[in-house]
Amino acid sequence: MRTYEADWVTEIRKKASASINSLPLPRGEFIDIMKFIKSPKEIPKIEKIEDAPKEVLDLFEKMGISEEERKMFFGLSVQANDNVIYKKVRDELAKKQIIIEAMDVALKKYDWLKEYFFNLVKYDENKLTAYHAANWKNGVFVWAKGKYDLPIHAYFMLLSPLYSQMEHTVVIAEPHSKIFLVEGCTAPLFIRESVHIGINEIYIKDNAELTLTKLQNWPKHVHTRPISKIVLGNNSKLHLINVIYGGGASTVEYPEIEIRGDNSKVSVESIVFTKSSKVKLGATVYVRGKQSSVVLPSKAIASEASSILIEDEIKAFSKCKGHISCDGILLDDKSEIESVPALFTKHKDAELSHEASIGRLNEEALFYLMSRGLDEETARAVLIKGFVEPVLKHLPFQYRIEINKLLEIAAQGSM
Amino acid sequence: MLLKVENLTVRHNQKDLVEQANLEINKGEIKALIGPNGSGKSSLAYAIAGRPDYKVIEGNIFYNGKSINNTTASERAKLGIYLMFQSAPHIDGVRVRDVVSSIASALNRDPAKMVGKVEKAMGFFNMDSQFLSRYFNKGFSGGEKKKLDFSLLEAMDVKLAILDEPDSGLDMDSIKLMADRIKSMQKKGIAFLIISHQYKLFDYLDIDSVYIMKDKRIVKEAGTDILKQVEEIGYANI
Repeated sequence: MRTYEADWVTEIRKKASASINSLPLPRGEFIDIMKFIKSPKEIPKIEKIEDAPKEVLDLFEKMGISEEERKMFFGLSVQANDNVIYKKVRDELAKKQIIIEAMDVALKKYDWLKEYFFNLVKYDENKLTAYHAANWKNGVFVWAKGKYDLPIHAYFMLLSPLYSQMEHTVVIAEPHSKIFLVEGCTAPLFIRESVHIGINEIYIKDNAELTLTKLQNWPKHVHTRPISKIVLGNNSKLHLINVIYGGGASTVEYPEIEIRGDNSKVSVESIVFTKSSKVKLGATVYVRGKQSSVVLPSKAIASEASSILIEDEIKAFSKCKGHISCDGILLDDKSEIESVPALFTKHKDAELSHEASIGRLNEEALFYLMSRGLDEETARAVLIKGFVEPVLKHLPFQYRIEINKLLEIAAQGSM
Repeated sequence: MLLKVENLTVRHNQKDLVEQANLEINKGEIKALIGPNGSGKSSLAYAIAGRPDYKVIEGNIFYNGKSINNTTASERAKLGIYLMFQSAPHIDGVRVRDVVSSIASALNRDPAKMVGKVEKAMGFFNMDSQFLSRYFNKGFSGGEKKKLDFSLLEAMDVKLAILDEPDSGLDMDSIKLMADRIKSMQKKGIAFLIISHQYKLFDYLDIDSVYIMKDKRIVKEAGTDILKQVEEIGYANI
């Protein structure tokens, strides 16, 4: 299958493969990740939807997920290129100068991707980047040259099957372009692998605007290690909304964002709702251009003996404004949340600040709702939904509904 | 007998805040509960409404002849008990409309209709319908919180309303309005236990009797004359 791959791509695979052993573990790694990578969980292969575990089917039912979508989750869907809807939407987007291709197809088509593919993320940064570089498969190339306001979603599922372990995505937002991408989905993914490593390399050029929503709902046996690097030029905007639901077995995610130009805006909003999981999360934003602004708000909810560490960081090298905030709620006595914001400046006119608050659900509000007739589970769900609302309200309606349903189910489960 | 509190002792944070309290209310009655600050009035109200951290360690709360000691706050609400909070909490990120809809769903009522009723009740207090789209009590003045909580009371099928200082923070016109609403609910058979420090609201109403609480205990049940006495010389001789 890789016979058709360009030589330079194969070359990266070879070099990466040879370097794995000599490289360090990535930041925040706390398990024997290389051992897990090589030991997929024994899950029977799904031949038809009915073979899926009952709890997964029940959840799909509760969330109202369509037959077609269910097939995709289990990898039963037809090949993307044969899919009529996919073709139609792709043509529609092409008219707006938004080009979307499967990553391997794009690499064959556009030789100049050499300057973008494994450019922001170096294959030899650590063991995981190298393992990914040697073994990546699937992924999406998005090349935006025009403007398109609606969220672009389904193509990701088709081009980058959710059961893929090592997808590689490159997004290039050319000057004056504008796009809204939605990656992942709110339904639980059905994958065998014990470790998932997706890499995103994102280029937002002058006067371009990208909204990226990441929805992550990993099964309990999966350790996920998403790697993202994003660069911005002048007058550009990034709005990243990261929703981590459940957290899998563990999640370690430290995206790096670099504002290279002036007058740019970055906002990274996170909702993390863990269940028996260990999550380490933190965006680092380097501000090099002048007059830029950065806001990093996060909302963390820890349940079922899980732990969440949030380590957002702003590094200012020029005049800018930056703010980090973290609100956390513990749903039980066995969970923990830690917020470690970091601010660094080399410029006297950088205005940076942070705030954090961590506690339990407001007992007074809980009693208020119960004294109006809500049972305890429903009252908790109402408060949790209210807690994440400031971030959630930035998501498209459809996803908001899906996430609210998940929160309700979770609030009932966490009693 | 709608409510009968018998020998009730209530503990909160390892302290007894109510001791051996007795109190009775019939359908359609209005009873006042007065007493110095910190005498245990709000604690008694919480205990009747079923607040989990206000534990009944002795005695009984009978509602329609049955002990409700072991029922949850939510079950008591469904039985028709409504506590109007001295200071209702705000709920971030949840709009008034959505709180009301959740309550309606919990009570198997039609959400849109209940929102309509709350909207109408708020209208009596000159609160416009934009309040429905605001986060619950967030940034509301003290008076607006009371008006919203009272409007919710009107929209629900309540049989016993316990009002904990419903008049504090309200202007005179609003107190008069609230009194009128209470009277019309009273006519429908709703019973009230009203806690207050200022007697303007009581003046507008036909109070059946006044309970006086001092130092965790209900020390006296008296006629409304006692209100005047307390206003003039305080609680010292009671």
